[in-house]
Amino acid sequence: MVDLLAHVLVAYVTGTLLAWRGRLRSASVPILMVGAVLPDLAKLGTVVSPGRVEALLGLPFEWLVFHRLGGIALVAGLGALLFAPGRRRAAWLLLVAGAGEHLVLDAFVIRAGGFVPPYLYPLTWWQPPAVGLYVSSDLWPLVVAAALATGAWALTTGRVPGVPGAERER
Amino acid sequence: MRRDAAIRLALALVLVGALVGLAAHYDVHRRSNTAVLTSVDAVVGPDPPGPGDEAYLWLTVASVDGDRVTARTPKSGSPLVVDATDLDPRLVETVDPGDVIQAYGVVAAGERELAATRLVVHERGNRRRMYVVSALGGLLAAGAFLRRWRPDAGALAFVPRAERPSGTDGSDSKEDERSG
Repeated sequence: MVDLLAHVLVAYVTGTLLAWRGRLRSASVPILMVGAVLPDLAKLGTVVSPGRVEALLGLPFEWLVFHRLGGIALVAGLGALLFAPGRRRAAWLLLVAGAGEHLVLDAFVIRAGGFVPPYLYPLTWWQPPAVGLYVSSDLWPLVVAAALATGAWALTTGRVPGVPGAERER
Repeated sequence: MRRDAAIRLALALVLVGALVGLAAHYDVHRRSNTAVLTSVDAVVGPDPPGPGDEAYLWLTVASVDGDRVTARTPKSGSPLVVDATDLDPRLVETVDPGDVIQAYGVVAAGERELAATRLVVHERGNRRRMYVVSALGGLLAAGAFLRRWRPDAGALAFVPRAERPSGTDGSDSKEDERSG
């Protein structure tokens, strides 16, 4: 997987583009960014091992389910409950969309096994061939994401001469 | 308001239960539904692989001795050796203790050894930088969210910062739902 900052910045850029096109309120962009964080909840497994959770619950347990479609849908559901009733559906969709973007970017990671993990579980165990564009610790995806995000931020906030900022217009 | 809180609590419990069930299902069925072994425990655990089984593992390097890379195995405590004889020596020379490697190959049954045919190295320093940068990503997402949304104690929910307190005007929420 790419580092989390790159995921969050790409979500910001995507949300900002959608806001420019009138498909998203600017206040919704941060929800998309939070959604991009959700799959990395699987990293809690490096802090609390699955074995410890299994001992606690008395059930088999695998943290990677947070990095799969089914786990994302459920965690996004929990997140959506933190909003008022009229906003929950939109919040759930935004959280799932942000997390989905995270999975798409992770599909481009170089994998020695030659295949992408079954991200669509539980719909399917299908593992597509890995594209192999970058390793997770590469710096250049972050540099690209940061450059795009800086451009989107500058345009949105009216810091580019001759371009009215979208945020200021609202 | 109390009714909504009760419904939310019930829904949260259902979702947490479903999440735990899904995590259990994934753990139990992963091995039979994926082409290769992907967990260290499946290789060195109590149910060892058969001869010729393939494995693709993310491992933390404990030590390197020539073509043999010993990896940490947190669950069992027994070391797992990656035999890199068939790989480019220049690649193996770059592996140091503390690095994370992706190793793909064939497991030697009962020997806690993987004959690697492909290897990807993530240097320890790069991994450390990635963790720091990732923490910044989490903080950025949280900061951006809290800049535009605030907790409303009355509604027990997050509301946009520009919005008036809950109960004073319900029109904004409908507009927000329509436009996402």
